[in-house]
Amino acid sequence: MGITSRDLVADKAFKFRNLIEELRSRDYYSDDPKELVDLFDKVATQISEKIKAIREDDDIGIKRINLLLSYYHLALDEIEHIELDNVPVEMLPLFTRILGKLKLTTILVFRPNPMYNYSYFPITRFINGVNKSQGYPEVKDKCDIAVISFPSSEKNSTLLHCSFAHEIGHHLNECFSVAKDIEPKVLELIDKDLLKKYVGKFLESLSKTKRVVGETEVTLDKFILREQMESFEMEQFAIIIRKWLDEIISDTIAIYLFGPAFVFAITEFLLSSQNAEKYSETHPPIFIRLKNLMPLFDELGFSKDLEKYEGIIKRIDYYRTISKKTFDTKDESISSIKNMILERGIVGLFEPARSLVKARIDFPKGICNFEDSRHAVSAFRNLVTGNEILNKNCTSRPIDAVTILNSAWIVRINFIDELYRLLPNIEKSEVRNILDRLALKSLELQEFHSKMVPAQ
Amino acid sequence: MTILSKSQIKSRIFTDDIPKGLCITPITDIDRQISEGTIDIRLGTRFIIFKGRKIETLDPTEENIEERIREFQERVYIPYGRKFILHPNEFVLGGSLEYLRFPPDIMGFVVGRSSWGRLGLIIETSPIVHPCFTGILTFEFSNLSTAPIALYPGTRIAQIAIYSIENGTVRDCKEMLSKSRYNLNTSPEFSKIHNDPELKKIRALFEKQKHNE
Repeated sequence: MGITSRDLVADKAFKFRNLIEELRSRDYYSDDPKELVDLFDKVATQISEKIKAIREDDDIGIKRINLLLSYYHLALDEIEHIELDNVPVEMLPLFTRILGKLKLTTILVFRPNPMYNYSYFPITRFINGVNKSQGYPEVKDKCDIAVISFPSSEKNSTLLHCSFAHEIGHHLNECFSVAKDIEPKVLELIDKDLLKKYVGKFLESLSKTKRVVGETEVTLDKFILREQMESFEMEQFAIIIRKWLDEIISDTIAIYLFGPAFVFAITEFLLSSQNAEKYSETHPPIFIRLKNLMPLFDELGFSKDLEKYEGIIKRIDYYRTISKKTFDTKDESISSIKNMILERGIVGLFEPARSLVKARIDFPKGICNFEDSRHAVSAFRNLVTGNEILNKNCTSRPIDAVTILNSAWIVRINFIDELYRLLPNIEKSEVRNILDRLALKSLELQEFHSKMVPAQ
Repeated sequence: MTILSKSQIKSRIFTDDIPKGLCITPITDIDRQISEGTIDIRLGTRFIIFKGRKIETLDPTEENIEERIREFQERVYIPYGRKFILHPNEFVLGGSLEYLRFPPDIMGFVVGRSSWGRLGLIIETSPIVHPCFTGILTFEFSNLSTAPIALYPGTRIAQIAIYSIENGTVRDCKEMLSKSRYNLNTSPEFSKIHNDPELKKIRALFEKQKHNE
């Protein structure tokens, strides 16, 4: 008898189930992470039933279950670092309200990420995708669950967390099928002349590499058909541009949700860890993202709304300078041509993306109330939470959450020296931390106020 | 010192001059929150609980006492609509929901509401709110009853009697804000007793004695 492959997989499934039980007993910031545990519970039950039903000699079936378990473990890791006190819970009602206004029922679970990154992971869709690929049924749940992670070292950085808007943007992009409907344009926007040049340069570089076949020396380019190469490279560029398109759309949605606060947060976050031209296959460089965002910034009237704040204007001018960078160059090296193809491709998609975002998503009117913002800014400048407006007739009303966040950003950029002077014996980093805390507390008080005195 | 009337408190709250005004936020129902001479304060969502299993004693003269206090205390979050159960003889720290900023000529005294006191709940053992205080209040809760007490964030838990300091010199709040150890907090704060200068001196004496031995 001995231990069979099926036994080993059964052990793995048993450990998976134990881990779920352990996760269930933890204290979370709300019931939402427990919904995620429930989802895994269903998956574990499904797997256990499959293991019971499978024959010991069904090697392919056992391997398939093993593969599924590996994927599930990967997904389960998403919940591992969620604990009671390391999620900015005071921000969460704002996101629930945003989804509610758009009639979306997705549960967003927030988790600290040991890696220095914000990210979005549609976990129900992931599990269902994995199941489908292995011929398993979808896991039915009352609603989708998506995990949004943030750098754990920034857990108290309320203002940087305005970057959450981008991650929610990814979710809205999926829900309203924005990118999906623009993707057919990607191939059209790949500059064919540049592509030819790119492939030419590539083949030229190959021709320098010689191989000996029998007694004859041949160059590798002889074996490659230019047309096939062009079509292959075109698809490679399209893959990158499609991924960049997702980011551009999420940025576009985010500016509609959070206004200037999003632009300040994402730029500060990204520029703190990389230069403006650095990119990856999944994320465009910062200058391209700003190239998309800055015209929107003006179109939505933010530049005018913020014109009285000198420090903000300087900051915006700095962003504009970055946004004017380009990969367009006369240099015809292979990497320069590649960069140009990518830039032209994605820039050509800005306008269709913006139009479709506006047409598909019914954003709440008035992103930030700059009139109310004056009160919040004044409160923060006096080290008071900026959550309400007091009226002369001894009544008060809450300031909305997005306005609070924008006001805190105005203070961070425009009046931070004033706060340093107000707290001369405190380290500057701690002063900025105090502003983050005030902003978070303001969100809590705003939410409480809104619940206690429902809007008329 | 004179206790302020309801209308005086209102006029200090509803002013555009933030530095000179009395800030207590949020104001959701002014007539329920403010009475003659006092302002009701609600319970916040953050608590600090104590877990003494690993700690032998809390000796404020110990060298690494700050670290030990953090090992001994743990932050807990209870959202609105949920309850925090305080068991008999248990001691926890809680915070006010309200964020406050006192001007230089006003001070306050915090007292528990008698309705809670009659259930056995003891609130606050250091009741003075100094002029220029800015932040949330930290409450020290004890349950002297024989039954557990449920505490709900958002409910009125204490009140502050508001006094104006007559002929008081208007001091600059800057120094107070920068130096006072419990200012500018937005959730209850761990004890910072280790910063007491006399304790530092006592610690130095101990070390000297040890060295001589």
